Amino acid sequence: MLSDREILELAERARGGEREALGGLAGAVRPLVCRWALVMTGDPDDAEDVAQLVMMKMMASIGGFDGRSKVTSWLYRITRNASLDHQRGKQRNQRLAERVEELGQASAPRLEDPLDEIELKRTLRLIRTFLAELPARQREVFDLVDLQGLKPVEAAEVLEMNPSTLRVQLMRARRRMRTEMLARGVVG
Amino acid sequence: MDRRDDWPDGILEGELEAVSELGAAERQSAERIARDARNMNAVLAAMAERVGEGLPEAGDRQVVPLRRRFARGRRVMVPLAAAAAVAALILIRGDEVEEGGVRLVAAAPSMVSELEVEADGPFVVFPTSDPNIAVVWPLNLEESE
Repeated sequence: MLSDREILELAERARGGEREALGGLAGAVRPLVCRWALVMTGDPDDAEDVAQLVMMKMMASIGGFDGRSKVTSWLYRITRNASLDHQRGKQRNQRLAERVEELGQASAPRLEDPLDEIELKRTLRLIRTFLAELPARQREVFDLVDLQGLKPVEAAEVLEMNPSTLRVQLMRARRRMRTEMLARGVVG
Repeated sequence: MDRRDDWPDGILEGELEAVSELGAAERQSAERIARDARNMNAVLAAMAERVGEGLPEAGDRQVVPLRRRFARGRRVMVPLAAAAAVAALILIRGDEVEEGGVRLVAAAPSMVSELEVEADGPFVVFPTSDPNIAVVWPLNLEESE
């Protein structure tokens, strides 16, 4: 993963019309965008659509990126808007549980440290709870801070949120998820 | 069995590092939470990677139609189900068959489909356990692609 500075350099060069830099930028941010889209939509199909829209939008509007915010914040905003547009008027997919199971099982062999069957099932249950039961904002905050390891202040910057508001959302998400983790798991 | 009311608020709401020094049970819980978070992160990252596989190559400026990799099953199954329904209407059966000098009358009347099928269009014939019945399944290659 490139640093914020490297991403900014690529964005500056892409803004200047360097096609190679645009390709590099797209490759660098693609995993981020896909992860955000997955967490925001809670649905792999929708995530793919949203991520594709975001990548196209980024390529089309990189010239308009003014550099006042972080590239990741700019992209996060685009992803969020695309996700909201995509979800507007659309009911949450009822088959989410099945599809998380399906996609999670299919993706598991790619893990650096493969999980055993019990751990994988447990993790997929938790992911279902995470995607299906947490409100969108809490999902985003929990994902950035507790799962991806950003500091709350960094997450607040990416999300363009007041840090105090972020902490409230984080605490609510933690309460829900940690309760689930402790209630369901055999400790140890 | 865990009783969630027993867990201190620190575990549920606070930083794991702060509560991990309290006692063995709390430490174990904090470790469990941290491991679950690592596992969730790893699985979500792998899922996101698969989501990304459906996207056009980096740097590709072409606007391409949205591909729905995970919906592929649905996209294929819907036309196939429709084709199956049509096929069920195209049962070819003889009303009367003579066997050993005895005239057998089929229980169901003949059915003729009003489906228009291209003369040179591809189709599949499925024989059934009844030699008088076959199922004709017209293929629509574009839909099943």
